[in-house]
Amino acid sequence: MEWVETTGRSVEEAMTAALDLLGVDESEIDFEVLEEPKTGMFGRTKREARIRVRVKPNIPRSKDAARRTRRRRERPGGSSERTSTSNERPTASNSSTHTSSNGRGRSEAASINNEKNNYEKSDVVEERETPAREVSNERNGRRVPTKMTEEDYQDEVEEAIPLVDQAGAAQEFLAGLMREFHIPGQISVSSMEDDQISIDITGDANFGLLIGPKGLVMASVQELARASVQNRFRRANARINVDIAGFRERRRTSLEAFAISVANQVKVSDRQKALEAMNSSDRKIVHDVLNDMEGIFTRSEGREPRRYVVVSPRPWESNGDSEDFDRDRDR
Amino acid sequence: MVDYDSSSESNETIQAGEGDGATTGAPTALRVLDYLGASLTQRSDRVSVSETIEGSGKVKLTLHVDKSDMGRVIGRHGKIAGAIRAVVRAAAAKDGCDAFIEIVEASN
Repeated sequence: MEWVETTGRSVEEAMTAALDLLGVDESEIDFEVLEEPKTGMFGRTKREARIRVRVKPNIPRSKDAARRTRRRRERPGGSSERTSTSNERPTASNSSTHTSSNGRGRSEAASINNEKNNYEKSDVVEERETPAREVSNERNGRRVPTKMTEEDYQDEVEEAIPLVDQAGAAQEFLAGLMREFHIPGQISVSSMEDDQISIDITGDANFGLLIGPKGLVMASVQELARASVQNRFRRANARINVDIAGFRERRRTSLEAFAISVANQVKVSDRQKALEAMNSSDRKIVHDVLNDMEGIFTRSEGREPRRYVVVSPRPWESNGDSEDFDRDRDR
Repeated sequence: MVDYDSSSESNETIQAGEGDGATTGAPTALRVLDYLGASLTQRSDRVSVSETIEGSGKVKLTLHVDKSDMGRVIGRHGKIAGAIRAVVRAAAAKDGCDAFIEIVEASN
């Protein structure tokens, strides 16, 4: 697994920068504090906090986990490209640019180089290909996922939970939730790869309520689906993506179009523009789409949850601005 | 695809499920909260929900869970609790009311 180092005036800021950088959620990372921040006189930052972060490995650690080939999450525009140095300008000594430190995982370090070659070879059951499954929820009587006994846990310790079981549990949870909401719909697993499960909720009903402004309710539904699967299988390790009525794609498309139109304005006016605050995955969409655009540079500023993207006609200059934190980049 | 079967289209009339039927201020929200509580805990037998209507017209929904499950429903940095709130508030919007959610340890 790839570790990434970030800095910030506090551990929290460094963490925010890291989440930005990886475009993932806090629950999806492991981190280590490398250096606590030190403050000098008058609260001036003497030394920044330095942390090291990685996206959680897919397969839970078990006795033979080290021997297993870990499969790396291959995400489009994944973190390794995003840390490429082309956009990184060395700043002052207390620079807050990110340095990526590839292949510094602990025991799995050795396997990293082979990772890609061995991509197919993993021995975990998730490999099992299954077509999209559907679940109908029972109409009468609340059906909640069955609980496991201690013995079940014991049996399970050695094995990863098959992805298909995790997907089924997530579907069941969502079906129950929609029943309580009295919103009819279909819940299907659209993909299961590596450790990612994508579930789509579709139908004719009005899903506005379940999506919420800017997809915030949907994000919560997704979080709860993951939590419920983990409650059911303690060793559940899948990342669960929930999409409702194609919201994600629509959001991405409109966000991309919006970002491009802003970038064009920036080009014409030759003046940078700040977008409204967005969550890390939305910011990633903006960075990604503008990344390829000639003469446009993007960065993120501000603090979570009010962090926002700035679209600029030129690379970021360090101009003696004391706001070190603002030099953080998402990429 | 299997159609998930909603309890009919009569969204407005909620069956008096577990004794907290039509008289409550936010029946959908209450049921959703109960469901989430049960789905996220090991001791789902200890999960219960209650509702109080506050003076301001707001509805307070309380989720009671076993002490051992508190961490599960709160989550790191209150993440799960935040998600529960967001989803239950959405359900309350369906009931046409403004709800806030409390999570407490079930008494013995």
